[in-house]
Amino acid sequence: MTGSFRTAVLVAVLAGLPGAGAAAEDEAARQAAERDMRGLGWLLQQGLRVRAVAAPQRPNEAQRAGIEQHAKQMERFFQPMLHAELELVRRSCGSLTPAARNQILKVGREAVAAAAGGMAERQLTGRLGSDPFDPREEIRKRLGEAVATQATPAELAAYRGEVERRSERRAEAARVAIVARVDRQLDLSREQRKAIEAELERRWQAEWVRDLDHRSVRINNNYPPAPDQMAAAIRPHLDAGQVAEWEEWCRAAGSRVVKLPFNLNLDGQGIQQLDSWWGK
Amino acid sequence: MPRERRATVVPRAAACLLAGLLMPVAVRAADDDIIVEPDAANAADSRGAHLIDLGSNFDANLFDQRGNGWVIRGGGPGAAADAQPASPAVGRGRDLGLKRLERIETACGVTEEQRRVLLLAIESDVRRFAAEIEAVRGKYAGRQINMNDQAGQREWNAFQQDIRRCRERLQDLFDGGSLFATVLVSTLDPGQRECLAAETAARRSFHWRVMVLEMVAKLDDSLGFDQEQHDVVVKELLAKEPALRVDAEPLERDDANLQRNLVLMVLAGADQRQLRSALSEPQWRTLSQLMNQGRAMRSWIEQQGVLEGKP
Repeated sequence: MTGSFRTAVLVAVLAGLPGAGAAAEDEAARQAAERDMRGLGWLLQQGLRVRAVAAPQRPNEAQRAGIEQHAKQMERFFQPMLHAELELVRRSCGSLTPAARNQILKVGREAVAAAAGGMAERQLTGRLGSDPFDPREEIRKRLGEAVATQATPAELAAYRGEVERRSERRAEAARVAIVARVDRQLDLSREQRKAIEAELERRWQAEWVRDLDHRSVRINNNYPPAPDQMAAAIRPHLDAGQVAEWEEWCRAAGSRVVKLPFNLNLDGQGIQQLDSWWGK
Repeated sequence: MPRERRATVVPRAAACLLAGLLMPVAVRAADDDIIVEPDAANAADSRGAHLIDLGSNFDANLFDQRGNGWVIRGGGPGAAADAQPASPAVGRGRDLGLKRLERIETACGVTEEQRRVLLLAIESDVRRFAAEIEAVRGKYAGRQINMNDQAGQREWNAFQQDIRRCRERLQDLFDGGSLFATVLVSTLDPGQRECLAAETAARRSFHWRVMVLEMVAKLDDSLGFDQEQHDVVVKELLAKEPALRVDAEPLERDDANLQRNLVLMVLAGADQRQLRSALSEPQWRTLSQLMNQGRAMRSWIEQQGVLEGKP
């Protein structure tokens, strides 16, 4: 619930209160109105806080129909995510029997439907920003569980190893992209780039990988978002002039100023047709 | 593909809506998009004329707009009567020159005398550049066009051509052919030149590695690479490092779309047999399509000035 929305609700409610606002002509009435406003504001805040921490809002019947329709359309876009993951399964678990493949494929298709449903629901109930959901991870998680029940221990280990290495590769890509962003802004030397990259690796936090999804975002007079969450890995390696620029950058476009939106990076094409190994 | 939306074909109400939506965010157009700023969107008069003052749009499009984006600012009756402010060409040119000099100082250190000579060269290049820009800019001072008629649109197109040439000139300001580039070679000693070349090469390689790792991380997602396949693709790409212009604005623009297409274009020129043998049939089919897209974008990529000697 945003501050502006809270204010709007408060104003809307107060507009209908007798004695509040413009109707209060003398000082005593004005003070009484102010007291009422504060009291009501507090009550509203409590109510809204309860709403904010309560279970996610469930869609009503009318929304439900729209969500189902939207989810169906979305499945088409999520299908390549499944196909890419199945390709990795095929390469890691080559001895899966046709029955096991069928089972994995079935789970995969259900995962696509679930991911599309989850995404559509969040989109159409306005929860996308407050209730993080990554459809790709959802598909991978469910598929991984299915592989665990079907693959031999050795092939399962191979698959999991590939998944792990892919995460490491993505983290590395995110790390160097962060260094590149700092370099563009502050003109780092070769040694500084190396030092910051190494320090980022040492202090790496899994959620920083999301940084990759906000490429090319420009805000506040053409500043890119300042990676100030990673300041501990960056600032110690800057010289005095760069520190001054860094601080200005963080003031203009740091995480306190910029709330980056949820960004699902589908990035174009993926595998449209599965290998015949998976059958029909 | 770069898109070009002509402001003149955007209905007035849609243009106003667009302008309203754009208000809270920084004004930055994606390549080849046209941003109609709020004042300009409201500039259509009661007869349906959409008046644009080219003079006031000249600086905005040359100096404030990045990449191939376009912005339409101001306009409306009386706007053209305002005196054209002083050109920011000198200031902008100096900023670019000083930034380049600072990078050289950081890389190889310069003496006071070398610094003085290089600053003189920068100033000379900047003055020449500003004079050239002023000649073009002067054509548009006080010039108002109606974007809703064909003559106005033709003039807008000519204006865009002029701005493109000026953007290229700004990009090349201190490159080969400039006094600065000539003086730099004769001013630095061999040790400094070597040091500067090494620093430039390191920066170029670093930024290429960033583009490659980012793009292949996306291919990981869309094609399901395993480690071995990933390594083959990365190795091919790193071996084909293009001559990125590390001192120029396009690299600093951090344009994900440009970088994605650049990587695909380079991959299209890599050893296809090697790639083909590393990938499965479904992966290869999809990657081939992507590489074709990259290949088809070559002239657009070169126009962006991200590569040495291009355009």
